Amino acid sequence: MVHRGDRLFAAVALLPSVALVLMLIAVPAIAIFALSVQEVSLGRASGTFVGLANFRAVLASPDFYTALINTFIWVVGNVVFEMALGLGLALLLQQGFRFRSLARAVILAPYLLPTIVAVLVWRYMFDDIVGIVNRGLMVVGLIERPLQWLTSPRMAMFSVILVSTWKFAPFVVIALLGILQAIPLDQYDAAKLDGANAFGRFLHITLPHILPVFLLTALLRTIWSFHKFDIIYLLTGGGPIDATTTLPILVYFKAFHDFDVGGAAAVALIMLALILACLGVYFALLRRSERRL
Amino acid sequence: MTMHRVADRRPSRRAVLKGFAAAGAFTLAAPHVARAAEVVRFLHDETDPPTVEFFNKAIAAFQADNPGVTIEMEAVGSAGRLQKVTAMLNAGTMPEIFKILPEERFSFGAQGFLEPLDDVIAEIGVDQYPARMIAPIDGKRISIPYTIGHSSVFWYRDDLFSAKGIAPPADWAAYLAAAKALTSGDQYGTVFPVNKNRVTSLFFSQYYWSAGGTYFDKDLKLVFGGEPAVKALEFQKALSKFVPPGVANYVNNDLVNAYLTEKVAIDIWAARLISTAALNKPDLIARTKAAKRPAGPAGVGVGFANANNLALSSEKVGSRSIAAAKKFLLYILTGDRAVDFALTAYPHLIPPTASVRSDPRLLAGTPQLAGRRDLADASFDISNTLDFESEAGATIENGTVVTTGVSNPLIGTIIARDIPAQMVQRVVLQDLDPTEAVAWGRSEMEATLAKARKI
Amino acid sequence: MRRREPGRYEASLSLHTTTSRLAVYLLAFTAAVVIGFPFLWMIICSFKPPSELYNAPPLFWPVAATLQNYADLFIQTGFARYFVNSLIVAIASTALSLFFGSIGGYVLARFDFFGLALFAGLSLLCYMLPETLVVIPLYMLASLLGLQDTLVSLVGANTAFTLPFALWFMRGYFRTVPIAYEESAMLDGCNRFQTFWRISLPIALPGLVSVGVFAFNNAWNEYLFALVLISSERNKTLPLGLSTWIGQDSIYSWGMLLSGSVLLTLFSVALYAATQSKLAPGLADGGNKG
Repeated sequence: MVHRGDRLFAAVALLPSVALVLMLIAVPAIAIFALSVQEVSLGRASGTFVGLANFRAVLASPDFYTALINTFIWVVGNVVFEMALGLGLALLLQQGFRFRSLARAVILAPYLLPTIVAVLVWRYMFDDIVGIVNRGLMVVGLIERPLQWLTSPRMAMFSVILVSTWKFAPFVVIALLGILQAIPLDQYDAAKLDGANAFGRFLHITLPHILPVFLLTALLRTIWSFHKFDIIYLLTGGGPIDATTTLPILVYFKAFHDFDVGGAAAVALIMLALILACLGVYFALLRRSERRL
Repeated sequence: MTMHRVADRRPSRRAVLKGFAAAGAFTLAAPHVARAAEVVRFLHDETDPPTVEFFNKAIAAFQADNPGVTIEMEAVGSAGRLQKVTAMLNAGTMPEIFKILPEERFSFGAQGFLEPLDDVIAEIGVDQYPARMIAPIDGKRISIPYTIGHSSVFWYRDDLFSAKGIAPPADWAAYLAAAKALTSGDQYGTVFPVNKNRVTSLFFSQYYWSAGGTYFDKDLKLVFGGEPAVKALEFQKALSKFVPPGVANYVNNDLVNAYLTEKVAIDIWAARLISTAALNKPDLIARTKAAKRPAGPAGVGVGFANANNLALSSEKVGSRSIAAAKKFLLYILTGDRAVDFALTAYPHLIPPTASVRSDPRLLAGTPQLAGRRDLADASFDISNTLDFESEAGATIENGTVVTTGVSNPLIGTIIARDIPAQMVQRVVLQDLDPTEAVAWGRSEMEATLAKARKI
Repeated sequence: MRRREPGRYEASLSLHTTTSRLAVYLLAFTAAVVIGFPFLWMIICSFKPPSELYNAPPLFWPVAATLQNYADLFIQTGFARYFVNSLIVAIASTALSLFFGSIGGYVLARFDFFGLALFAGLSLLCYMLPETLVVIPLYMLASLLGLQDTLVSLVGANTAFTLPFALWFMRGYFRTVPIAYEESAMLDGCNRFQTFWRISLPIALPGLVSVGVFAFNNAWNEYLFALVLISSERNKTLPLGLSTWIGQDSIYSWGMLLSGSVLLTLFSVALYAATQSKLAPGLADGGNKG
C-alpha cells in the first residue's frame, strides 16, 4: 500500500545511493565502451575508431578461448566449493557449543585478511624450498615427493581455487548464518513431532527458508569470482604458461603488457555479456524461490 | 517492547555518522592547508624503509635551503607504478618528477609528455655517465639516470666450491659441470627464472648476447634468431636440470630468497642479493664471493645492466613547477646525497656518475660489509654489459662488447609482451625443440612490430 | 513473543545425544584447524628472527623467538598512521553503506515506481566491470572534483562499491518483514521513515550484520582504489602502505610483512567478535515470528 509522502521518501532515500553507484558504473562503463571501439595504446586517452575490429580480433585469438575455459573452471570450482563449504560451516556454527565464538572467529579470519597479504603468506607456504605445506605433508607421510602447487599446470588451478575458497567461504558462512538464525524454532519442533529426521527437517524447513539468500550469495560469488584478478595474478601470474590465465588476467595483460587498451576493453565487454547471461538464469531461480516463501 | 529497546540504541548511529562526516571534511581540507608557493611532486619506487628515510631527510634539508618550494614525495611499489602513471597521465595530474622505465621513454617522449633534461645533465657532466645510458632520444635527453641496475653479477658459495674443489667456471661448459656437481638431494647448483616476466627475458638475453646474437641491427631491423638463439635456449634447457623445482613461478624476489635459503650454490643476480643478506643473514656473506661471468660461445660473458631513470613531466600532462623540479633533481642526484642514497641498499644501488662511484666514503661501504670491497667492485663493474634499448647492432671485438650508440624504440613492445620469456618457457617447461621455439619467437616479434608500427 | 530459551535458540538439530555433540565438536575443531593453519603459521613465523624465515627445510617453532619484527614495523614504516587511515575509511564506508543500504533496500523492497527495479538490476553492473579498467576513469573523476589524494574519495569509492550488495541484501531481508506490521504502525500515526526505523529495520537486523561485515572488510582490505586515489604517505591505508615495500621486485623484510599481517588480522577478528556479541541478543528477538 502506498501512503502519502512515500514517493518523496523513496526519492530522498535512494538519491545518494543512485548518485554514488552511477558514478561508479556510468563513468567507467562509458569509458570502457568508448575504448572498445578504438585502437588505443597505454598512456593515450583516445585513438582511432576501428568499429568492431577489436572484438573480431579477440574472438579470433586462441588466448581468449583458453582464458574462457580457465575462467569457467575457476568460477565453477570456486562457487561450488565456497557454497558447499560455506553452507556446511554455517550449519555447524549455528549449533550451540562451547568455544563457538572462537571457532567462528577463526573460520571467519581468512575473509578479513587483505588479499595481498594472504597471497604472500600462501606463496611462502607453497614455496618449493621453504614451504611448510610440502614439508608438513611429507613429515606426516601423506606424500613422498614435494608437490608442485603453483608450477604444475593442473595443480596450479587447484591451488588458486583452494586459496580463493579459503579466503571467501567465510563470506558465505556469514551470509547464511544470518538467515539461518532467522528461522522460527517452532517449525522444527512441529516437524520433530511429526516424526521428521534431521535430513528431512533440513530439506523441508531450512532449505526453503535460506534459498533466496543462498541463491543471492551464489550469484554474487559467481560475479565476483568471474572478475577476481589479484589472487591468481599474485599467486601464479596466470601461469605456468597460461594454465591459470582467466579473462580478468587476459584483460590486464592486454592493457599493460600488450598495450592494447582497446582489446582489453573489448574483452571486458564480452565478459559483461557472459555474466549478464548467467544473471538471467539466477534471477529466474531467485524469483521462484522467493515465491515459495 | 523488545523492539523499542533495540530502536532506542539506534539514534547514536546518526551521531557517529555526523562525526565521520566532519572527520571526512577535515581530511579533505587538510592537504590544502600546508601548500607553499611551489610544489614539486616526486614519484619513485625505491621503497626500502632506509631509502625512504634518506629521501625524507634530504627533502627536509632541501626545503630548509629553499623556502617557497615544497617537495611532495610519493613512494609506490614497483608493481603499482605503471597503473598510477597511467591513471595520472589520463587525468593530466602527473607529478613533476617520476620514475620511468627505459622503454616508456620513447612513447612518452614522442607524445610530448616529457620535458628535456639536457641542462641538468650538462651541469652534472655528460661524460660522467656511461655513454649508452645517456644517449639522446630524438635529439633530446628526456630522462636522467639515478642509479644503475646491474642484474648479472656471478655470485657463488665459496665454501661449497672449495668443498668440491671447483673453481669459478670460465665458460658455459664449466658452468654446467659446476652446477651438476653442486646439485644433489635438496641442494641445487644454480637458479634462473622461468616465469612469464621481464626478468626471464633478461636472463635469456644475457645468454643470447653471449652467444653473439642481437635482437636488432644498427639499422633497427629485426635480426633475432639463428644459431645464437638456439644455443642460448639449449644452454638454459641443460641448466634447468640443476635449479629448484619452482622456477616456473619465480619473480625477482625469489632469486634472492632461493640463495638465502643456502640451497643454491650459484646465483647470477643483482647485488640486491648482498644487501638483503646483510639485513637478514649476514653470515652468508662471508661464504659468498663474486666471479667473472662464464664466457658464452662468442668468447665473452655478456651481462645485463641498465640505467634506472627519473623523468620530468611536461606541462601538457600536469607538471607545474618545472624550474624548481630541476633544481631538486640537481640537488638529490649529486654530492653527498648521491652517496647517502647509494649506501641505503649497498652495493645494489650503483651510482650512475663516475665521480660518485669513486667517492671514498662510498667505497668504504657500510659497517656490515666492511672488508668486502670485492663485492662492491663486482657490482659496480658494468663492463661487457648491454641493455635492451642499446643492444641494436652490438658486437664483440677482442673480448669486449662494443655498442653502436643507436637507441632502439621498438624493442620495448617485444619485451613488454614477454616474448623471450615465453620462448624459454616453451623450451624448459614444455620440452619444445629450441629451433622451433626460436622460430615461434621470431614470428611473434615480427607480428608485434607490425602492429606497433601502425599505432 | 519471547519464546526462545536462552542458549538453545539457535539449534536446529537436537544435541541431546553425546555422539552428535562429539561430532559437532570434532567437525568444528577440524574446520578451525585446517582453515586457521595459515594464521597459526603466520603468527609463529612473525616471532622468528629474519634469518630463520629462510630455513630449508622449515622448522615449525622459532629457535630464537623475538619481537624485532613488530618493533621494526612501527619504527621503520608508518604502520600506525596506515592503521588510523584504514580505520577512518572503513568505519565511514561501513556507516554510510549500512545507512543508505538499509534505507535504500527498504525502498526497493516496498515500492516499484521510478523504475526502481531497473536501477536495482543495473546497480549490479558495478561488479561486472574489471577493476583494472574501472579504476582509471574513477581517478579521473576524483581529480576532476579535486578529491585526489584524500580519504574522502576513498570513502566514496568504497561506499559506492558496497552499496549494490547492501541494497540487494537488505531488499531481500525487508521482503520478509510482514507488511501488516508496517501498516498497523502507520495507522497508529507513524510516518514512513519512523515505520522503517522502528519496525522494519530491527527485524532485518541479521542482514545488517552481513552487510556491515562485507562493507568493513571491503574497505579494510581494499588495495586498487587506494593505490590510484591516494598519493601521499600520510593518507595511505594499510594494504597500500604495506604493499609499498612488499613487491615482486623485493620484499624488504618478510618478518615485517608477517608481523603486519598478524596485527591486521587480529584487529579484524577482534572487531568482528565484539560486534557479534553485541548484536547476538538482537538477532534472537528479532527473528521470531511465531
